[in-house]
Amino acid sequence: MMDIIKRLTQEFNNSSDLIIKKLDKIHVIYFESICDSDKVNFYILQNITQGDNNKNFISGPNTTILKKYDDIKFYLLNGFTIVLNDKIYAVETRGNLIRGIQKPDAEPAISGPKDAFNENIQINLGLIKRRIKTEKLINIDFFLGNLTKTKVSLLFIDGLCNKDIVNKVNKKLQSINTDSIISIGNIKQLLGKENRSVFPTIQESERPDTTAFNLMEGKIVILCDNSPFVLILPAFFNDFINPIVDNYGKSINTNFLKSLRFICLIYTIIAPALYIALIDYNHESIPLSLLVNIAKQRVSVPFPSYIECVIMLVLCGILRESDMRFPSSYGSAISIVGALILGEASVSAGLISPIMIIVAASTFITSLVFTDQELVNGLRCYRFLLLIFASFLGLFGLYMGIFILLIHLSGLKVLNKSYTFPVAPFSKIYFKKILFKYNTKNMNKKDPMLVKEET
Amino acid sequence: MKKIILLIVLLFCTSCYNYQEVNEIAIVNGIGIDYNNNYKITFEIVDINSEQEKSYRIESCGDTLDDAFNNINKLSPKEISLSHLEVLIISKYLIDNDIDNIKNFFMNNKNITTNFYLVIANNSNEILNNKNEINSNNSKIISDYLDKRKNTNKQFDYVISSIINNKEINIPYINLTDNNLKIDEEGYQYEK
Repeated sequence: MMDIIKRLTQEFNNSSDLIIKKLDKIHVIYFESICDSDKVNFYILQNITQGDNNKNFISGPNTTILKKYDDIKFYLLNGFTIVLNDKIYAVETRGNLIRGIQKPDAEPAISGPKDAFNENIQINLGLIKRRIKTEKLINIDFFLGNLTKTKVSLLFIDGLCNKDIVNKVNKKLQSINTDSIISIGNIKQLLGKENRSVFPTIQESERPDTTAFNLMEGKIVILCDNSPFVLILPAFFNDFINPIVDNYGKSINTNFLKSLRFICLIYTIIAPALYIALIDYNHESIPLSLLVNIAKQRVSVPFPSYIECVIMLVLCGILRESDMRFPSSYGSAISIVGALILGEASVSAGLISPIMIIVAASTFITSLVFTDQELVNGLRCYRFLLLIFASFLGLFGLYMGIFILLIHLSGLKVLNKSYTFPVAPFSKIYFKKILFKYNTKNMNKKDPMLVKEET
Repeated sequence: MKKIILLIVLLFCTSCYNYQEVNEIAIVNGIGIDYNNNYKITFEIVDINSEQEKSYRIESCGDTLDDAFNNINKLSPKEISLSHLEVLIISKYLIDNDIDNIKNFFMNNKNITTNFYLVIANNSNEILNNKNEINSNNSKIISDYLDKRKNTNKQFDYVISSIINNKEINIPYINLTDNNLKIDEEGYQYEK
């Protein structure tokens, strides 16, 4: 027993928060920094000092008896208190090092539940299990990262999801060999290693209701400790465009919104490229009055229009980035500077034509419709690609770029499923759930592509 | 890597084919053609430097229509764009004697759409040079006037097809009285 204590103090290098208490013949070891001292006091110390004899200090709700020395270290670092008597007991005295359940920041919704995941994996799991009360909800736990030993949980509903996908993801998670998993982003990178596309193939969500909905559709969810997001996979292109929150509204209004969002998607990719193609190459496609209007605005501008367009798009990107990184108390300053410099001053100085500002701003606004950052960044990539094509070859180049985008999207695979799933291998069931909302009659049907086991 | 090189070659070796900045083209919206031993053509061009709907004119002569158009390209500081042509004014002599030539020239030019109005006048140069009080772009006045009455059968392609098929057709006729354009929709009757 003294061996264990000696070894521990040696290996932890006399760490200042490692507390070793000796009460009679009993040793109590815990880390002050990650344990709740009230719990230590209540479960262990009180029992040892006041209780008649040695058995009562095992009164904590989560107590195990340990056999191996390596286990001691692991439990100690996970917030357990080790009690050394004739046996080695580990009592959970984890401190509440978390914030409470708060409102979703990244995916806000006016209607629908207002709870969001936080950094504790147990609470996150609880938020999901509160919504799906079945024994078929299975979670497989991993401890990933050689040094960080982060708890990662794979969640799926048995009988609803494709076993092949589960096995594949399971294998991939087990084969992860890295020193640190700090956040769920690390896992996302390691899982999607083979995907070189700019478009995301794994969905991140901070909403328990979105997660529960996707689980019910036969998808897999990965939770990670210390991360307020979960991963949902496989995710298709349409899942990023249409949030699950749509399901809470009236279907006719929701469908109007969905079509609006689709127009935004097309607009935000092609608008600058189309504008450049039309005013630099294909003037004959613009009506005379509009052409004269644009020409009058461009008279004093010294740059070629494609340079003007690139300047505006880059400035908009910088504005967005600085707005995200800056503390929110400075946010108004950025918007004032942005509006003044980009809007007023550049026009009155004759550097940028007013219509260019309209094009850039509307492109920027339509890209804000989508909540997923990865998707917005991917769209931005293709916006610039199309812009380059259009500034070299006009409308012909624009069509070339659009075809490249379409070919790329239809060639993309997510866990052997097509990325354009409910559209390209057409699925009526999933289409009605995500892309267009019909009546709620058939909500129970599951899509065979996600549920069926592949032969 | 090969694909990228191929793409770069494909894109960058086009040297911006057909690239023309919108404020560097001369937008022609009216053409007048007269004949007096040689062709005299007048272009009415939208003036994008002024706030109002103003226009300026370029005139040139040539033995053939091609010659005359080439001469105009030399005179103009900006690239001539004929894609937004609205009105073609030709003199009485030309419609009676030389319509084949004009038909061939405008039908075979790939930069011109053929849905502009064909109008007859005594002297087209005089009409395009008319100093009007309200709106000095004369071609716009004529095309607006004809647009308002939904005169699709006064458009060039319709008129030409009627002429080819030996049909009688009424073509608008314009004359000038005291700086005012008088447009008579059925003013000129074409007969073979």
